[in-house]
Formats: sequence, C-alpha cells, structure tokens
Amino acid sequence: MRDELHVMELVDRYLDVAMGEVERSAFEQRMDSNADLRLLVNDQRALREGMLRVHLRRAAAGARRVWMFRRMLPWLAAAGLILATAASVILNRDREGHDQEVEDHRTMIAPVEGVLTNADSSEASDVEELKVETVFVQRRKANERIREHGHGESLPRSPVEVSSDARKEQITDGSLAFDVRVRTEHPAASDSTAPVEPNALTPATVKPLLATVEQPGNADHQPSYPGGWDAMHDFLKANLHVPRNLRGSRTVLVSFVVDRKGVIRDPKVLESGSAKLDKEALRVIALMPRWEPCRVGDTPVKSRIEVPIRFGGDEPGVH
Amino acid sequence: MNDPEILELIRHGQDQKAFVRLYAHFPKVARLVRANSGSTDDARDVFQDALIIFHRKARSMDFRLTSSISTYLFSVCRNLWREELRRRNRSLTKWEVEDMPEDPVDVVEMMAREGDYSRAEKALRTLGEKCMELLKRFYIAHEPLMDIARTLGLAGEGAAKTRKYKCLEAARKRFRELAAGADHIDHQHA
Repeated sequence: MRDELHVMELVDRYLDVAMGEVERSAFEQRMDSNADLRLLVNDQRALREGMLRVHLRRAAAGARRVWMFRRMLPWLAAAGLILATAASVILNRDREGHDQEVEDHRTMIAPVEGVLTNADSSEASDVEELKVETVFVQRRKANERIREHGHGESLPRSPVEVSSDARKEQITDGSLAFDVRVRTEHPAASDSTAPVEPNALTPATVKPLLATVEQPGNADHQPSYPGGWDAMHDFLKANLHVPRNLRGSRTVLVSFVVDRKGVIRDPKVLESGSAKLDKEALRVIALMPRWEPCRVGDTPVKSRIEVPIRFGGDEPGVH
Repeated sequence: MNDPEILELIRHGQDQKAFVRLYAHFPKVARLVRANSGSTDDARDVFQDALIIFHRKARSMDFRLTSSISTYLFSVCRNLWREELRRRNRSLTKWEVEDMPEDPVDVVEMMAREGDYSRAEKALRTLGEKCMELLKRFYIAHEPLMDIARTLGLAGEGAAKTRKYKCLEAARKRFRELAAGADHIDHQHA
C-alpha cells in the first residue's frame, strides 16, 4: 500500500503542476508506457474535479440564497411578519390538551430518544422559549401518567427502556452497540420554585413531546442523526475504536446539544466508562456530521440528547 | 454586469461572490427552461451545472472571453437542458421553433468530459462525512496535512495521508463502478 500511496501523491503533484521539468517528463514517459498509471491519472483528475464540484455546488446554492434574499427582501420581511404571527397563534393553541396525543405517540417511539431542554435556549426567541417550556409542562404531566401506568420507571443505566415495544431495538453487532434513551429534563429543573426536584429525569421521548405540533402526519421531529439510527450505528461501527484488551462491555453515557442548525455542541460525559473510553466516545461524537435538529412545528429548537455508547459486545470473544 | 470583474473573482477563489453576480442571468434561463416543458426546479439544476462548467472554463489559463459571460451561460444551459429533455424522451419540436442564437464556438468543448466529472462527484458523495471533510480540506482549502490531522483528530501527518489515500481509493472504486455502468448503458443504446 505504501507504494500505491506514493504513486497517488505523485499524481497529485503532477496534476498540481508542481513537478519540475525533469520529474515531469520522466513521469509523462512512465505514463506513456503504463496504461494503469494513465488511468489512475485520469481518475484522479476526475475525482479532484468532482471534489471541486461538490464545493462549487455548495457555493452556488449559497449564492442563490443570497441572490434570492436580496431580490425578495421586502417580500420576506412581510412574509416573516405573517409567519411569526401565525406561529404564535398555533403555539398558543398547543398549550391545551395534548396529553392524549403524547400517550398515543408513545408506541411510535424510535429506539432513540432525545432530551430536550431549554437550558440552552438562550438563543431562542422569548416566544419560543416560553412555548418550549409549556410543552415541557405538558410532557411532564404525561410522563407522570405514564409512570403511573407502570411504563416509564427506568434506571438511567438500564440498557433497554422498560416501556419499549416491538420497535425498540438495541443495536448490537458484537463489537459495539449503542442504545439511546431519552430523558427530558424539566426546563425549570434549576429553578428552586419548580415543582420538580432538580435533576429529575423522567424517561420520556422527544417524539411525543413534539406531537404537540399540529402536523400529526409530519413524523420526524426529534433530533436525529442524518439517515437515522441505523446510519448512526454504521457510523459508530466505522469510527469507534474499541480497545483490543477490553473485557466484556462498557458503556459511556455522553450527552450533547444539537443546536438549531443541527450542529453538535458541548459534548460531555455523564457516566464514565474509563478515561480512555470517554475520550474515544467524545472524539467520535465530535466527528459526527450535523444532525437534524429537533423541531417544534417547523421551528428548529435546541435540544440536548443523551447517547450511551457501548464498547464491546455481548458475544464472547468478539471485540 | 462587469464580466472581467467576475472572472477576477473566480480566479481569486471568491466563488460564491462571483456566483451571486452570475445569478442575475438566472431569470432568463428559467424562462427558457419553462418555455420548454421544464419547471423552475429544473432551471435551477441546469443553471447550477452551468455555473460549475463555466467555473472550470474560467479557471483555465487560456480562457479568453470571446463573447459575454451571459451568452456563454445561456448557451451552456440551453445545451444542458436539451440533453436533459433527450434523456427524458421528450419531443423537441417546440424547441426547434425557438429562435436561438448560435452557440459560441468553445461551449461544446466546455461541456466535454462533463459526464466523467459528474460521475466523480456522485462517487465522492457516497463517501463518509469524514472523508469528504478531509478531501475538501486537502484539495479545496489546500490545508497542510499536518493541520488536517490536528483538526480531524488523526494521529499525525502520516495518518492523514493514509486516510486520504483510503478515501480517494474508495471514491475511485465507486467511480469505476459508475463509469462501467455508463459504458453499459451506452452499449445498450448503440
């Protein structure tokens, strides 16, 4: 492989026109007599152009937005005003009677669930913040009910949520596994006057929470890894290095904020596996692409999610 | 629209700025596409491709502006859209009636190899986020491998180099598959 790597670098130098006269003509001679090399040069040139296309497409899309924005500025201002009014009307209606819906959606819960907290919503507008809070109150009520029904009580570390149904899955492939649980944190948890004790974590899901939006058909409101949890699993599988000498399995519970643009912020370890595993978990979290942000209606909101990352699997011998 | 200024922007890597200006030509292209059984979305795709094609041309050292950028862009768009219609098996009757100016001579040349490059783009898009990030930093931003290794949390320059090799190799494999597929289709048509 070292050789191939070296050749690839040479081709880059050639295509960058970074070769001196002598090196260049030697390389071209080599190309003349070697069809494989010629093909490699062509492919690599195409791939470099392809890379540029990816970049240019992004630039073009950005340029189009700028252009449209400049053109539409007066209209946008008007539309924005209308939207804001509409949103506040809709959200106000959401204050009422969504507990039932919350219950109904519980069976649709994906394997993963996120934690929504408004602790980070300093960026959000006041209206939004208020709304999120309201939603949380609804949510908490629902949770209490769920708990009464004997569904929700689960220890933070338990690998499978008690209330899981058939769709709940724990992804395991022998070398690593993760399952994700969501706990909502009451937004007022830090507020001493709040009816909930600080740090109270209720097993809950983002999905039902977001069902308060008046778009029952619009299913995916929770913060999610692009491509879903299977994709995330693949990603972890590809990127997570499990120490060779690891016996059994260890779980690192990490938590991070998915901001309104889907950017991952403030990752931290809530429950440590070991210093090394924590570091690895955080490293891989930082590598993840942007997430789909949590949405309330069409409005993306900041959310905090907790993901237990398990190192090592259940099957003996496979690590 | 100041054409030499736009070329200057492109040569200095101010791609987005240049594109913002070029978007002034978009409405005309949108009209053309819509008049020929296309939608505004089609026009948007066609125009984006044309920008990319024009960008490559503008970068080349020997590029001389023999007609206005507007004419180039419009001509490339027209050819792209005609090709797309052919792909969709639509009748071109309406098109033929249109009163069209001649293509500038080098437009056809500009559009050659486009198939290869767009296949390469497709192949690259199948890569993981990390690979893309690495390749982008290396090939577009021209960051030194050492810096890339640091930003992406790789062990060092060597690791970054190896990673880059693997990414490119994976893309090339995919590219080859796509190219083989395209050949196959060509044969079927022949």
